[in-house]
Amino acid sequence: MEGSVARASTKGQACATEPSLIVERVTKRFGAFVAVEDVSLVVGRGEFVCFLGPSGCGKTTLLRVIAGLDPQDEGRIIQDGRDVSALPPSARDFGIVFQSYALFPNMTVAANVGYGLVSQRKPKAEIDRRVRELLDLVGLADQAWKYPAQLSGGQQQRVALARALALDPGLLLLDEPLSALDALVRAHLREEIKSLQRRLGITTIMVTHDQDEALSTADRVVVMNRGRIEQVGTPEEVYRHPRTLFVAGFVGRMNSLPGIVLDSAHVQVGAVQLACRSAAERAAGDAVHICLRPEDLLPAAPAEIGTRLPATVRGVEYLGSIARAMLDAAGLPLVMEVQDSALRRLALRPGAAIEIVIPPDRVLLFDRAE
Amino acid sequence: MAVVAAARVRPIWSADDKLLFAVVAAAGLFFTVFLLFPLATLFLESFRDQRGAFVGFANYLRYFETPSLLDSLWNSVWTAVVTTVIVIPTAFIFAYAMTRSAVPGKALFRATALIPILAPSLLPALALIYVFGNQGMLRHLLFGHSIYGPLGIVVAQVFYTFPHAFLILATALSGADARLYEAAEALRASRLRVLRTVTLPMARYGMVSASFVVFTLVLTDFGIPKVIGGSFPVLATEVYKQVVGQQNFQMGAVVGVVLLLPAVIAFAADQWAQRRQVAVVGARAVPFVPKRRPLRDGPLFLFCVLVSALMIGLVGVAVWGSLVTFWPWNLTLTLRNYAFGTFISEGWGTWWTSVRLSFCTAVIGAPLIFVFAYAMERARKGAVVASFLRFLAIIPLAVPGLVLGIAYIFFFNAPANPLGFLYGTLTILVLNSIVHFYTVGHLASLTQLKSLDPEFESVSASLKVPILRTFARVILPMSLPVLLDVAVYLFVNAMTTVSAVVFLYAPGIMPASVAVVQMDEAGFASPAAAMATVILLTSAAVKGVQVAVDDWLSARTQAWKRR
Ligand SMILES: Nc1ncnc2c1ncn2[C@@H]1O[C@H](COP(=O)(O)OP(=O)(O)OP(=O)(O)O)[C@@H](O)[C@H]1O
Ligand SMILES: [Mg+2]
Repeated sequence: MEGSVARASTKGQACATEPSLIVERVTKRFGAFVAVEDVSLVVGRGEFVCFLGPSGCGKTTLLRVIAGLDPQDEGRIIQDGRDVSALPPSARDFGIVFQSYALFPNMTVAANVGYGLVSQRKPKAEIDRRVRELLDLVGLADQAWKYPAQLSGGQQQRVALARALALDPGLLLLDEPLSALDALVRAHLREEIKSLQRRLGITTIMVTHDQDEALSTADRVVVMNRGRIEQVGTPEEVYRHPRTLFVAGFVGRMNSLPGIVLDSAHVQVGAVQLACRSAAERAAGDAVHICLRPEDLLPAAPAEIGTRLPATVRGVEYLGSIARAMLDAAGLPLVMEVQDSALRRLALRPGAAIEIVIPPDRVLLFDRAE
Repeated sequence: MAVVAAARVRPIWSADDKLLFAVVAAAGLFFTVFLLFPLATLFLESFRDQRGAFVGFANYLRYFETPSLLDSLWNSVWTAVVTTVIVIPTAFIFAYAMTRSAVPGKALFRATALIPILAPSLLPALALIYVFGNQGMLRHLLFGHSIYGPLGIVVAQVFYTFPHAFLILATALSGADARLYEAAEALRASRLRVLRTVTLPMARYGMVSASFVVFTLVLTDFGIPKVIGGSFPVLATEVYKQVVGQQNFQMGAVVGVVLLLPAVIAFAADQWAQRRQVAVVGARAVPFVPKRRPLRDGPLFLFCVLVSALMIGLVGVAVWGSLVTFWPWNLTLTLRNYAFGTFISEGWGTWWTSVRLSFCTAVIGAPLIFVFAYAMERARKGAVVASFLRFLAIIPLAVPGLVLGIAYIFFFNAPANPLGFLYGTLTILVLNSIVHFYTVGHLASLTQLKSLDPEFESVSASLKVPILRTFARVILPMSLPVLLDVAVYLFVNAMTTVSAVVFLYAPGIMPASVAVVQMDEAGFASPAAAMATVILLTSAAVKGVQVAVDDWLSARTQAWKRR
């Protein structure tokens, strides 16, 4: 176990604090189908981790493996130094919120939240006190006597959260807890979950396929694809320094073009030679994908350093505080994002001719199989 | 990363896992002892002679060389076909009127159409004898034909199977998607064309399903041919004659197997049709609300009135006949025919036996079926066993009551069987009834369980609440209406069935439905009709109680269902 922790940290997957949960080489199959393949992960105490990935990539499966609801075929799960790999869910220490919330429809909010406490054979007064405390925590103290069907989606979600926290679990598991809500409630609730998590200091894993949600709430993001972990890192790491083409394309928007490494400082894309710092790590002639974030394309200004390209605006998508411009930059189809203010200053409208700058340190390269 | 394989995991069973598996195992034991073993014994017996020596197909050869037996097979098949051909269109039009038209009084029509389900199949046969029998007042309408025989069998069967066909067809038709009709209307399709291109294809599998159900019901029904068949032999009466009359158990076993075959084929075809039916109705279907259209609704209304009048008329005649002094010569009303003690030694005791039998079947059967279904559905361990049991649970639907009854005789009457002490007790009648009517209750339970969030149990496990508590506090309260439904279904069927219990009852525990057969056989037609009426009233009363309890339940649970 010690060895695996050390190994994990050398791979840049380390967590800041002591480990609360260690997932070690876990594989889960459904028949011949491998839903989770040889996954290893360390989650620190009090950390907020998001599993992010496209639909069907195995996020829920991994979460259920950690909970013991669908036991893994191979590998170990170690929680707080205890090997729980073979234990049933009831012998583990976690609270869980499902996408459907799974609130008991025939019980009041208070009874739902106190459901786990009642079978702990605690005195009634203590249970009542704890239920009130939990409902206060999620801001539903005045709804205690309602039934779930009488609550809004967001309120139901909070009841589910309070119920999951009732037994003071060491680990909180959330499976797409916000996906059933509309956008506004969603943005509000994710901040609430985050601040609640910080206040309680509870180790939390949240599954989501919404990158904004993952980037804004998580201490670290685990990007998954086809049952495997592609990258683990802080939101900034996975956004700024994606390790694979998949991560680059999945997290945030990306211009991705095929090209070839020219020399230690340049790549060739179409008819264009781009200055690129990371070309230094590659041999000339390598086939690569060249990736550029839309916000890294800058309107030309005297102070900017980088490859300058003439561009024609093909179309503009107005998104409020920012705008997205579709460009034809020396034959390359590129998308650029600019602030609303810049949009006005540059008078970007279809047909306009501008000049853009691509900073060399912002050009990402990934292997391309011929 | 190291190349060595990661450690394999052997999950430890939790107390919940053990409990659920124990229930699954109990269900397995139940099916093995009360379904598989008896049927297997029946099969084995059909290959043996009187002394138990293996004789291969000798019994079957003898069967096919006995003309009277072969005749009965042919008679059963053709009466079943004729009945089906009459019932399906009639029930279809009736179901169409109930689901696709705006005829007034639908609730009343619906209730009337379901009356025959509450009575033993003998009731229509007895009524027909009153009207068209040797002493019948309308005998001359038959122009010399006799009601005793195929004619009476078919007419009584039509009456008896009508509600079954109606229920299936009404379900198939009410699953209609309004959007299809709107599309057809927008395309200016003629009404006939809509019927041909939209309605009929949608109900097609419902019709296949209903046809097989009706065919099987007729083929395996015992009461009607017994009462009105006269000297017209059919499979069901033949098997009874072989086993009870001539004590020829081997030939009884052969006829039982022969009877099982068409039923199994019909069953397999029905399963196929039902699977198709599901695919037809989309998940987002918009319910169809029929508009008023006098040209369509007028004739349909008349049709419904006619069918309902026949239903009520036939039941009415049976009830009336049970109340008159001496049909048809002395029509003064009397309750003498209800003094059953005068006609059969056990008298009203048979009714009490039936009530006890039905009550036990309902009160033991419904929870048992539900708990078994729950364990099969939610067990995390032993998934292979559970899925095999789900298959076993639908088999009883394909096993005719008569066959199950004979199978029980063979199995439980065998001297070596340690369970032999059950033979001739009310217990075996109850067990037999539970198995006989198991499948419908099982399917209803499964549908209910599938409508509950599968994560209830996961949440409970994470909160360290034992599954038993979650079952009692959440699953059960939410499923009470379905449980009640299943219980009433079991009660009514146990109350009215003749076919299985006719082989299994013993002196002192004769069910009322068997008493109807016995009294009719002894020439007491009016007391037989009286007993059938008592059965009908008992079933109807229980149905009424169900409606009342349902109302009370939904009032109590309103708070958590409504917003
Ligand atoms: N019980 C099961 N039996 C068979 N296959 C399953 C089962 N559960 C999941 N899978 C398969 O495993 C894969 C991963 O499923 P999982 O539910 O973990 O995806 P996910 O990442 O949570 O996706 P989503 O975002 O859609 O919820 C899918 O291809 C799914 O079809
Ligand atoms: Mg999922």
